[in-house]
Amino acid sequence: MTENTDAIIVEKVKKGDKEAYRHLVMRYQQKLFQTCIGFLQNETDAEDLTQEIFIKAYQKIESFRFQAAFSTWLYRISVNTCVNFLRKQKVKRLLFLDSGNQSKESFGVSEPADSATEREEQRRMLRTALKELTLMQRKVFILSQYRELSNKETAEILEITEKAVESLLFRARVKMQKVIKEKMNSNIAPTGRYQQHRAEPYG
Amino acid sequence: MNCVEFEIQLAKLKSGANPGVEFLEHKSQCPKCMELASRADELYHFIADDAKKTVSPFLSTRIMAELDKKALEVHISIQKAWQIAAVSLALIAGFNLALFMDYRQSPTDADSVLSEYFFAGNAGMEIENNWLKLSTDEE
Repeated sequence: MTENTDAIIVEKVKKGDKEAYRHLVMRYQQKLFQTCIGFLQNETDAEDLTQEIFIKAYQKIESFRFQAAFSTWLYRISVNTCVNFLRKQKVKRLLFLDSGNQSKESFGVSEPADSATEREEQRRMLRTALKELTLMQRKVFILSQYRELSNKETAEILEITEKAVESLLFRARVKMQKVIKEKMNSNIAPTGRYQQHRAEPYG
Repeated sequence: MNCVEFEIQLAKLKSGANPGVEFLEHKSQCPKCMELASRADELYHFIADDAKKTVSPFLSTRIMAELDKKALEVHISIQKAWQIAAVSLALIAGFNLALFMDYRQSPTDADSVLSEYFFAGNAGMEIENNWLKLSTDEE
């Protein structure tokens, strides 16, 4: 049903009806935003990138040939844009020896100190774990965990087989567990980073 | 079930799925695996919370405004391109017209000889000098 209406709207947009595009934006902005958050782990950047993705999609809508669903096409653009953004950020960091804005991110709602620290700790662990993943594993993990897409949908977006998605997802989760285990071990060790971090507030 | 098998099973486990008796048994007996499972669960809950974050309600307006701005930019750049093309064409046409007019007003052979005589320095001067010399000699 959604696919049919998407196709009708896309046809309208192709004919120059810009206002019709607003419907597509309203329909997919939240989904793309979630994908971007998964890749970037930062709300502000995710919102900016969501905007960029929609503009890119509008400019390239003429090349959309209805061979796949519009959502699949849009997700493909979003995954590629996120990956390119991360690459550029990496190059920038290398060039300017900048540590990045990872700790300056906004969390939206203000939280109690303990909860915020805990979340910060979780985010740090998640970032570490995501870095451990290969590019394909990361793509699959984010699409399935953040967007809760099925293996079939993920396979269509990434143009790989369902079996490959399953295998990549399994390996990604194994690596996640490995990072958690490392964290657990460092927590047990008296000189562990986690231990030191947790000990700080109590002097 | 040993710890390695437990970890493999944990990685395969989909949220809400039944992990099986052996898995639950090992989890209750092994404190390390229990902690691992609970921490993994926490992490996936964190991800789920993260994914619930809502986009700003103004994003669609921002996107549409940006699209309008881009369209205007394209319109202006097309206008500018036309203006530049028109000015360039006018300049080329003017230059060609000037050349054509110059060609139309080009001197005849006789004019060329005369101008050569007046402006070509030595040749004319020599004739004139000889002339002057002759006239002095006659005197």
